[in-house]
Amino acid sequence: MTGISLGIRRGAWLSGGLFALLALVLLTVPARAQITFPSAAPISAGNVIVRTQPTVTEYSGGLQSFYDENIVLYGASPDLAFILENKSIVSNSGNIVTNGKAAAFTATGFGDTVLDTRYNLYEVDGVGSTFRIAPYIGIDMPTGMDNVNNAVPRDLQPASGEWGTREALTSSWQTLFWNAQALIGYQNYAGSGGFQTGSSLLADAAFHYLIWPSDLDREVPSEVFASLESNYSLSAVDRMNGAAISGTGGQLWTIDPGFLYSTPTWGAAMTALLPILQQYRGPGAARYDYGIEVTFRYSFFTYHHW
Amino acid sequence: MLRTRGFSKRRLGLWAGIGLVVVQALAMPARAAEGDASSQPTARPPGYGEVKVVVLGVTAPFFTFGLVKRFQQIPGVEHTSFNLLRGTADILVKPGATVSDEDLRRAVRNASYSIGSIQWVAHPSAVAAGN
Repeated sequence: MTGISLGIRRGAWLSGGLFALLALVLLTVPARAQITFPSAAPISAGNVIVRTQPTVTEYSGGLQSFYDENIVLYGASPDLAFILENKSIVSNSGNIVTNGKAAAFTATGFGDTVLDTRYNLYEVDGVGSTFRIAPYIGIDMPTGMDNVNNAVPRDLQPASGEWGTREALTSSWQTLFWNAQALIGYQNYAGSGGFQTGSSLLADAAFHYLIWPSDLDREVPSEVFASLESNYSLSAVDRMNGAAISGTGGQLWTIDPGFLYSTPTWGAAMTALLPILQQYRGPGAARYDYGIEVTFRYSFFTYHHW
Repeated sequence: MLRTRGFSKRRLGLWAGIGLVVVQALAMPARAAEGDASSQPTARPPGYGEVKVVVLGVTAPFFTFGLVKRFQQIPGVEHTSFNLLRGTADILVKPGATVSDEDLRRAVRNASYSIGSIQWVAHPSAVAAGN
């Protein structure tokens, strides 16, 4: 085989428009503290990847948030994947000031669940490289606890209690030595019990660079990547009984350096979430100081698929 | 008015330093093991067949998992190894097994990759016939 051999699938007529769309995504760059966003990376039919992501975030004023998100990816066919995301535990704690008196609070419970469906729309494969574009749609299900502590506002409950949808376009360009990923998406919520989370525009980008090993001309047992991710969200204000809640909505942009260790069956990553821009609508917002996310993932195989 | 909250250079430097130290610490034992981990070419036992399949789109060990499992699912396949740089799956086939090119193509497609080429180094039937 000579040079780079490209196996181009799907209609070439799509390429012009989709490349233009990708260029727009890359220009828009970054999204929300929803780090390690769904990418267009390949998943084999029958392959199941289980991932758990405990994350701690610190806010100004002593507010602290912890959650553990569990994600299951399933390759239903070579092009179709289902992604189930569930926050198994969410714990928010801090101080609430009522009538000038501060009182400590904790709101701990189950979070909500999202089911995404991703379809591999466009794919260009070469030796040691692949470029893919995949749209996905998801549904937010109110499986969590949205009223575990009456003393704290709805925003600080473990779950929102709302149904919602999200639509996104994600792309991945992977080579042996670096990977670039981008996502642009939209999330909106149906509201529940008078409360409505504001809709959000999400824009994410990530770059991973191989730092070890340098010799890939063999059966490589593991790799270490340095990563830099950018997450941006632009959100409408949350509302209670139609009235805007001050300090919600606005913009959050984080830059997230980290590293990733990966073998054929498992991987581990650690990432810092550092805010470089945050602007909220109205006073009262707890400002984002920093976050730390740890990720463990395990891959196993089933021969059941479409 | 847009208000930005800059991350101080000092804090950013601290995070970068911590990241570098951790990455180096992780990579050191792995580097030491790198020399030992170089896989030797698998010697083909008598009577066994061997086929090299160029697979397009595989970029990291994590992505070889599903592909190797797909090859292993084919009846008669004894062992599969994957060379990332060359994009080549080296497959050892049991004596007398009837593994076809179509089986290999289907395995690659089900793994969500594209086929480059299939080259039989030794086909089990030819080996059995003494060719």
